Amino acid sequence: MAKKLKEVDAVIIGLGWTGGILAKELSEAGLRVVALERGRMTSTETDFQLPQVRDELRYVHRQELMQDAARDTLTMRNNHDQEALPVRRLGAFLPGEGVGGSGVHWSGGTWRWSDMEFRARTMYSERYGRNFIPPEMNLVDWGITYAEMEPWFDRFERTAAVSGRAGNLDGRIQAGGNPFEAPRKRDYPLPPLKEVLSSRTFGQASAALGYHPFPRPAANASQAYTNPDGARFGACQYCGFCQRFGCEANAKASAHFTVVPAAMRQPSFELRTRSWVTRILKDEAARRVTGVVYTNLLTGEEFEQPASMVFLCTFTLNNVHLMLVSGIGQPYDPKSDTGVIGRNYCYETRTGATLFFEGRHFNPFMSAGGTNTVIDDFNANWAFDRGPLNALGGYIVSSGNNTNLPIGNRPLPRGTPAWGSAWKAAVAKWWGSAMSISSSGGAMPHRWNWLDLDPTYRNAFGQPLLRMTYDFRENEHRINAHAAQVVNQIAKSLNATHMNAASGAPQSWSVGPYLSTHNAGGTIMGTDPRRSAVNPFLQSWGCPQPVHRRRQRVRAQRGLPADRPGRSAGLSHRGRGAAPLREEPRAAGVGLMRGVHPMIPTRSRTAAWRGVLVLAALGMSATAMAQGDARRGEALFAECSACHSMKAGEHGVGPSLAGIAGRRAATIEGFRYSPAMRRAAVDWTAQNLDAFIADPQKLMPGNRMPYSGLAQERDRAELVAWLMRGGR
Amino acid sequence: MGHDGQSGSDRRTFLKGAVVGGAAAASGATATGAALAQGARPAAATAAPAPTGYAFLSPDEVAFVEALVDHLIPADALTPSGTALGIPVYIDRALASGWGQGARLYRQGPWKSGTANQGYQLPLTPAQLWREGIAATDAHCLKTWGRRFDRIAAADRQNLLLAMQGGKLSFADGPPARAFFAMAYQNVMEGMFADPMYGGNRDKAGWKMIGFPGVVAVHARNIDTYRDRPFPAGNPLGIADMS
Repeated sequence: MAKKLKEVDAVIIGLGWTGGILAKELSEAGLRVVALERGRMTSTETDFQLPQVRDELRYVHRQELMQDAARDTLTMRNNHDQEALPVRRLGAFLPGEGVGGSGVHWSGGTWRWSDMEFRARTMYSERYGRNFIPPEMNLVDWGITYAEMEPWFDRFERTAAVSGRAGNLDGRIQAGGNPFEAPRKRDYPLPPLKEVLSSRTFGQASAALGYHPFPRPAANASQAYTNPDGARFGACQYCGFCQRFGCEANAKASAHFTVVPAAMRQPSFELRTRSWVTRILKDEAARRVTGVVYTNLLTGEEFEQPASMVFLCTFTLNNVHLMLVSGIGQPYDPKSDTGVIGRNYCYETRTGATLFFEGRHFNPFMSAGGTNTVIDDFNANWAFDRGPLNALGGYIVSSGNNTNLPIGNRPLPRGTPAWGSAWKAAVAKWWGSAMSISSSGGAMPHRWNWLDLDPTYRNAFGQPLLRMTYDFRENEHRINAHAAQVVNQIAKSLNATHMNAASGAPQSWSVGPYLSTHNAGGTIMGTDPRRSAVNPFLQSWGCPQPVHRRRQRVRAQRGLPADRPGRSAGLSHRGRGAAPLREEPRAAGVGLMRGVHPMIPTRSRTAAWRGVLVLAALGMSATAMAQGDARRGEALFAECSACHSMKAGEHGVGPSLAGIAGRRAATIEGFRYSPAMRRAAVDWTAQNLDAFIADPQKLMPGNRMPYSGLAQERDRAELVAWLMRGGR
Repeated sequence: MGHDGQSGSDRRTFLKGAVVGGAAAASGATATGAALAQGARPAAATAAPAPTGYAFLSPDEVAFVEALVDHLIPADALTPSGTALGIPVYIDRALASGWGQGARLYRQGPWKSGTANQGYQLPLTPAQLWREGIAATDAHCLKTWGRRFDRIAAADRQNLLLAMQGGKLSFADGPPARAFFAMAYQNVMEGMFADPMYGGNRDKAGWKMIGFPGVVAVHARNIDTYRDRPFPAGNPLGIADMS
């Protein structure tokens, strides 16, 4: 028997971006909140330390941060005539586990959705006629508008330190930004990330063809940043270990060091990790949710946690699963086209070309999650006429570097042997001289793509696995064929030594290799209880109370999600139906899929909008300007500041450098130095600092500073002088 | 490429007669020559400490794995042989680890072969698939050529591996050849390019071959400095170098 606990105001299931935002907002509003997270606590200091965090095998191929398929997975088939079989090892998509969820290992791509997604059915019907939408494409409007969401997109961009360049400020098109984005009230909080050679090459080629390249907006801090909640971000160092990895510098936004700590400062908030929710409880007669049952994964004990409101904030697929096993909402049945839970499950399509340039150096290992250049001409651009294409949605095209590590990423010209000396020679020749151009397109909902419970296979808790019936349909094939043409047009214009052209042939969905974690839909929002699982406030139509008891509050809440609202309807990443964050595209269609969570996130009206803090860094810069050399020293220190602070006692990845002048190395109490640093017996004289910064591994072999050295002697001299003066 | 039949035979005899230790060291002659030819430091000075033994693979299996690895990664001017890089040691440790024993793999039945899109559906852990795959491949080689895999001619080995890779070969009594090869190939790539602390990629030869700088990765300035210029990645660092 489950042990019954004391009732709280709100239970949040899953503590990623969505749950984290809710945890902060609800607890700051004074509600008693319990968050139940199946995974472990996540902390940058303990979980993403150097050098261990730089391990491709562990994080990419052994999936350290992902859901454990041995305990819970799903079954899949391409169509309803097949028998679904378990996804025995994760491959095509990778839901995360632990505090921060998939928002720990994402790349940070952050897009706004527009009315082209929110009002897709209406807009396509008005322009092309009702019959343009195929009868089996169960497209519905979301019941919200971009204008309503704009402030929340803005709020999320500031919370997550999104780097980018505005393309449309209140209707005025901005050079270098995305001219097709919906109008924004103000620019991104941080300037775009640096351009790598592949993204620059792509940008030049696409501009020459008349397209409109812009830097991908990404929650990778291009400069040190403090967000409105006081969370500190280091400046991205383009380490090349981004997607699938945690960030040791807190340069990649994640709930675990932003909204979650803000919630944890509130006495009314409690986090219980290793807590696996098996079902949501409801009072059938009253159509109310009354709480949840969960298992403590450390002891196996089962608990019942009563709550007035339950917020489902797990990964998209797991939200659907919990709704189904809990009997909340009517399961979708494609034969009769009735029911709502599991309806409109959507995904994403991709194609790409790889280009090989003899003698060029792309340095693929230098990257952030968002070091890409993108064109949106065939996605958010409503002037792109879908009539001749006879398809809805669109796709983005992009190029750049993102986590190109050697076990998993070794592009070769087609026809190269897969092993032997010829293979080795080709890998050696092309690894640093290849770039790719790829598209990412939305997938529209389809009557026969859906989620339900599997009749055969069970998880570790004895519950049926979720069953996915999914394949790409005619609309996706048309979009993808068009994308391949554009990708190849741009690629060919570059006259590479070799080119692996993009394929526009129809694709069938497979459980691997990796494609995208932009799983969407299944619990979609809308205005018709017969065709959507949740209302525009993300409350279950079947049990509306769970979300909020007081109806009047609802209006404000909808927006909530600051995060990528769009995408997810609010919530972010995971939930969203959205496509999360993906680094990739906001695939057009993705929005349409409407993913969305069953219940929503919320931001209560009582939570004050805090406004944007003026960055401390800006103030510092102003001071420095008056001081000649010091300004140069400080500018150079910007790179160091990803890991080091000049404030006493403030440690990041590296120790505080306050008072470093003359200090013996490795002597600050409370910082865990490397054995090499402790053994070194070096005093930080100007001379030693200079030698160390020139080549850290040369002066102290085996120390953990992941820095390859500052070659320019004059720069070193100014930086060292600035450090020796205590940062002045 | 790799061993000829005779050296394979010697190797098997050696493996059976001794507690297997630094298997990699036995192939050192070629490796050292290649490394020196390339101007690298001598192998003797750069090899990681010899492994003390195999945790999972039997001596016969070690002979198979070395032959496979050295066929896929032959010694040449670019790197020593796969065995000299420690790749068999990497594979052995991977198979003895949680991953090899089925961690994160959904293992409940019933078992159906399914469609290609449905992915891996065998009731075998990676370690079991390697073991059964080696046995089935050896059985196929004995039946066809009268010798085990490590002793057949290099040309026969090449054709056999191509058939396995392409799904053109079915073992009479064994796991799907294609699934076995796909996993084996992936593991060899891991052994070549994973951090050296896992036993392969000895002396970071895999990283040096392609110019991957390893764990030192503060590139904010390097992006500008080295745009379209080669990055000096000649001395990559691994996790052990900074621990």
